[in-house]
Amino acid sequence: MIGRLRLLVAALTLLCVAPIEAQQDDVSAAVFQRYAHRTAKIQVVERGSGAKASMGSAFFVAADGRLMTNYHVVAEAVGNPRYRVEWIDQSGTPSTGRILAIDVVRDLAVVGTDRPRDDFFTLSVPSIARGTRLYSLGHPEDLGLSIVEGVYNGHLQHTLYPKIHYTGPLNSGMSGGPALTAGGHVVGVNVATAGNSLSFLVPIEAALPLLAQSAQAARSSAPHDFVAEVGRQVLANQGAYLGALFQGNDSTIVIGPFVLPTQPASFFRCWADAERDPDALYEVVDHQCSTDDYIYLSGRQSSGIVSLSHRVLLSRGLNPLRFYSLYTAEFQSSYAELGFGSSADLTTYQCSAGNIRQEGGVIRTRFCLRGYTKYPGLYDAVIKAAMLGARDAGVVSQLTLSGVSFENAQRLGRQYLEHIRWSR
Amino acid sequence: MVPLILEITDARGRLRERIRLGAERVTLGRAYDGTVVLDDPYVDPIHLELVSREDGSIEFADPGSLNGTWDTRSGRRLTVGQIVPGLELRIGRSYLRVISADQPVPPAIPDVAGRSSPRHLLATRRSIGVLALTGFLAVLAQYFASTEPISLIDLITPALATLLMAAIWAAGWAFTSRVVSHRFRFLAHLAWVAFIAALFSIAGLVFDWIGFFVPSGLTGYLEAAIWFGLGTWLLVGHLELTSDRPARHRWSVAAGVTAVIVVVGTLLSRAEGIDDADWTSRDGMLKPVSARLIPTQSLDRFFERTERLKHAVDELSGSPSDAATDP
Repeated sequence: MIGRLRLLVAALTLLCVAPIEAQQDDVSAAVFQRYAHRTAKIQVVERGSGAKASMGSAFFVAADGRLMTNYHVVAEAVGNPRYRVEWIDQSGTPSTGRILAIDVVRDLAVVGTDRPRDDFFTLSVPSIARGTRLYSLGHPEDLGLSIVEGVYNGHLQHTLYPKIHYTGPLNSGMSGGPALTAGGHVVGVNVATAGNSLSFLVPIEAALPLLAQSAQAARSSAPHDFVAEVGRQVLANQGAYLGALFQGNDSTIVIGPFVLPTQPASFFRCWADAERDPDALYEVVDHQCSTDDYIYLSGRQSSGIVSLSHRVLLSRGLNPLRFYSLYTAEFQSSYAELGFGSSADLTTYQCSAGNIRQEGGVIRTRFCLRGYTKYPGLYDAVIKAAMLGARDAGVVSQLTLSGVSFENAQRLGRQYLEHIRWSR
Repeated sequence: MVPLILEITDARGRLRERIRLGAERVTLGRAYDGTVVLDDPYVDPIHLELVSREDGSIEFADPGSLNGTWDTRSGRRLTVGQIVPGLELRIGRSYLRVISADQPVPPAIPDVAGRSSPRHLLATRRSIGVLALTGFLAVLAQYFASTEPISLIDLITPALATLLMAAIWAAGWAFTSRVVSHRFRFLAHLAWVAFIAALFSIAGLVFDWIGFFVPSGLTGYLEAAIWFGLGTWLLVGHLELTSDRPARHRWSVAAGVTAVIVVVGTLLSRAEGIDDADWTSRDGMLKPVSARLIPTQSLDRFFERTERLKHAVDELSGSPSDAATDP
């Protein structure tokens, strides 16, 4: 009897829910119907073989047929004449487009189609409340134009670059597509996902200056050196966020006998871990901070990652020579480890080591540098430090900077080392 | 009339017996009442008779042996003949050689034993001493390199594994010695490779400390020269135990072989893409030394020196900074 009652209740619940869902489906369907033809598919094609190297989505933003998309969707074709950009609208016929403007930092690009349209999105800064339902259009995994429903969850705090937190299942291939309100106001550009419906949009206000800039480029047919532009934008962007690191922000953490820098700026995330095996002859305490954001340069290169890590080693009865075997191994492990990048895009590391005396004590440091072959003036730097002088305690510390100017690498390396000292 | 000497050797040329021939009748064979008793199952009890004539000449006669008497030069079977200097005969598996007593002999060869290091090791006790000392050093190194609680077995095992490798290497040389100079000398070869291995690790230790005190010092070339020198010395030692060629010859052969190994090794590591700057670098060495004793520089000085890294990197990436210096 109770079982039947439950069934009845369940059926009633379903009935109550069903009309609401039907209503929402109608909105999705209406949005799709109304705005689908304002979107396009973008693909980067290898000229020789005609094979597709990458694909993504885009949307029309001007009467002259300009398309807004992500920089990372067209990055392969930037400065690489082997590739061309193709766009395909709802008619299904591919045409060649050209890149008019890029914003590598905010991951946006404008592609010109040279085909006027009367139906396009007019971009403006929207004012919407958290919880507003948004609809994302795009081509997930190249399976055809799809609509995804999600929720606007505000602009993210503590990020390097403005981002909208969007709760909706974005998938690769949807990058560059618009996320709009039911009324057709574009709020952001689909850019990334962290899985489980945790996704990110580039706020549309970031696209407005680029749109204005591209209007000029659309009128001229002069070729533009976008590779140099990428380098310029990355370097110009650095001044702002790297300048803030370690500046007037003396966040330090005390681990064992050491005072170490932490949380160089608000957009860093830090976490810690300790290993205290009772049988081990030493203790290990780890502390790491890293930026979440990075700038996508190409499939093989990224810039803007800043991370620092400390590993404190405390001896528990290891004699000094054995303890220093451990210390040396820790210092030498992952000597200059930085993901991303292949040997064609990056030079080999060049390193310099020294024992530095400063107020805080004597530090063995190793400064390693490699250059970006395509983007002169950009470097990866890895600065390792180990505090010397104690027989039973040590810290191996590393600051990793990707895609920074040499001056910034030097300045940050310095400030970093100045923040490492003994607590006793 | 110059007397004649009869030498009896085995198939490998090792001398069994040497007799002076005179007027007396000589018999060769397995028979115990013969003049020369041969321990050779292929020889008859009385296989060959040597009889002196009145004019002083000596003749030999085979009284009908089973396996015969053979002239080793012509390969013909003989039953009688004249004993003359230079004659070489084979009976069974024994070889006879006739030498005139006035035949000149070569001067004595210098006895190098006791003058240069590898031959020092020919004394068994000394070899074992060297091996024990090297083994002790290896165990000690293993102990200081370990960072976990370690048992005696764990300490000894790597040293034994290394010893096994060394033994295989030494066995190769010992067999070579056996073929070339009929001396096996396994223990001496083993002690020699152990001795050089000990020198290698001691030199490595010294460079570790240099690397700690002078991290960016240019010891790379010195280190490479020392490795090359030790590698060459290793081969020289083995060659010395193996052959009696002059020292200059040994050194040039050893240096040549080491150079070839170095060149091939370098090419291979390049092909594998191993960054040669990293594995030769000892600037990651940390040592438990009081901060007061460590030579240091200022932060300013250190960062001044990083400028050259930028130039090196720019040169590698071929960016404009080096184009400017090259109009």
